[in-house]
Amino acid sequence: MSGRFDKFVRGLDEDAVRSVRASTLRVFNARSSTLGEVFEDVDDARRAAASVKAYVLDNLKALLLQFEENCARNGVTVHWAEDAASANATILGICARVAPGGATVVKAKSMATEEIHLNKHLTEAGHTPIETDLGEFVVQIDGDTPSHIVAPIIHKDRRQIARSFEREGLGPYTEEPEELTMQARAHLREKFKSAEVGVSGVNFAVASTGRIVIVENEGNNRLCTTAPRVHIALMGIEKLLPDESDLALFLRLLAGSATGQRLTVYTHFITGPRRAEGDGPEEVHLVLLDNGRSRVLNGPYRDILRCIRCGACLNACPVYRRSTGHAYRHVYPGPVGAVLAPALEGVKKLGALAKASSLCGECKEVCPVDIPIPDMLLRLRSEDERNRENKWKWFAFGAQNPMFWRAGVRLMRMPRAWREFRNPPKRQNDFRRWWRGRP
Amino acid sequence: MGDREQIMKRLPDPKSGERPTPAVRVRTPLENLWQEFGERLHALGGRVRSLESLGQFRDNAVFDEDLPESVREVLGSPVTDVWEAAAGVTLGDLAVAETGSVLLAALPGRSRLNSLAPPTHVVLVRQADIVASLDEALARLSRQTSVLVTGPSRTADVEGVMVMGVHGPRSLWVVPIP
Repeated sequence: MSGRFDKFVRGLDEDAVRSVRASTLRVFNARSSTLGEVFEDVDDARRAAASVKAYVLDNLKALLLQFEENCARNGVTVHWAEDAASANATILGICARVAPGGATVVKAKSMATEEIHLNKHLTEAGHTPIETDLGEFVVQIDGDTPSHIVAPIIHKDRRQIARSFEREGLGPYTEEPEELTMQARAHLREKFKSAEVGVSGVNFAVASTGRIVIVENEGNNRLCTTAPRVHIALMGIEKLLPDESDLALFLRLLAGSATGQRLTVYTHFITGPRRAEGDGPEEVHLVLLDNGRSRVLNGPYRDILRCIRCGACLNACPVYRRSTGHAYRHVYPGPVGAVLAPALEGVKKLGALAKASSLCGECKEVCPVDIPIPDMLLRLRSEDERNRENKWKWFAFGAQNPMFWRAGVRLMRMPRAWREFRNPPKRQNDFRRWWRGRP
Repeated sequence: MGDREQIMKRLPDPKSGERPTPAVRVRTPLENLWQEFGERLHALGGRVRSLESLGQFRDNAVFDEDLPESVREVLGSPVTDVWEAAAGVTLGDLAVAETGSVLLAALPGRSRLNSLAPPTHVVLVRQADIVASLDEALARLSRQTSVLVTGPSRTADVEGVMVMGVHGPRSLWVVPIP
């Protein structure tokens, strides 16, 4: 794995690296200036948010049960998914019921759906998933994968996007971001009008009221959760907040950390299907995804579950900036991914990712929930080391056995060439003599 | 055993302990809330406009049923297809000075697409319905599905260049009404 990481980075396109470096630096700077304007003491806010999330993880069982009850009261249908296969099966089941001949599924940006590879499963079952976030749309038509959890096409420049749009017949070739965006708008409008199902992720969920909170800037999420007849939201079980009064702190921290905004353009508070209003979905389904999280909760990397997916640690990381997200070969890249990926899928398989770090500690400094990522990376490294074959194991064996050690030291004193230039310590074995003769 | 039971079995029993209720100090505006609001909204690309400016959308807008009669008179007859309208005119429940946001609840007689599909969204907010901070706004959330709108729809996915109106409205007007 580590070999592949290095190899990938050596083969990187310089344009992609330049584009990633410029974008991450811009957001990194916007983050600090905005959070500094909003909070009197940013570190105080980060620690406060960490304490709320720590409480959530300590009491997840009780909070999930409370949340489930409130969702039912709001008219939201709750489904539980032990793993990715179960989550996919649940979502496919709903789609098949709503549109037996195959559903058009408009999708808002969601890392959880990436994690379970939902698009692949929808397509194989005869449905048509359409990513509607501009970045995710480009990723989908290119058969690519997102390289950043907030800015999925951070590795692409406008010429690549222009060629893709021309190829897909969205309009004439143009390198103007404004015109490219409008081509995508026109194309996706038609999809929103015809889709039967909208799929989204969830940013926060309030246990005490069952409120589902989703943030976005483009408005595609709002269309996905408004225009189709059915809305399916997929959320990791760790996304809960205890109470409504926690929301303001987390919304400010998420927007500031992710993009340097005071608040995202659209902040949705969903409390069930359409009631007396004129439109909105007739059914709202919520799929609660475990997929390894409860196991992580019981292990040494549990604090990574505080993560609110702002991407600040990616933007701050000198390794991410130089290597781009694809080098990590996982849905979750960057410092958070280097911990979350092996924690979810096994240290044996992905533990080497922890080596893709300079341990500078910047990821912890910018983390809105103060996750001790560098400590976890160190722990992963030592765990990974224990898992692999140790070239020094004969030395370790000899050094741990007094008889072998003494024999080894005697052997080392033998070479003449060595002794001609160095004086071996004369008082060798003094300690042992003292130990033997002690009263 | 079902998925729910499997997950519940693995989750540790809740720990006792107080729910933390941290008091985080935030810089929020204290006075001249509408002026603060206007400056924030302007920085986001939105505008505070007067009621008279709505005349240009006469017979070319969609609007919610709960608009005041005086505003309906200015707007004339509504467009039937929300996707074809030049503007969507809706009532907002609250303006937030700290962030330049407006709160829209999906109340009876309202349509969510009216504030989303047309290229211009006009929100009418009563002058008294303004709060200083996000905390105050969230404390007034109803049980209805709601949205906080903070500026026009935007994206920076293409090389970080800001483009307005990617999926939602390209322009957002907020009109304070008595």
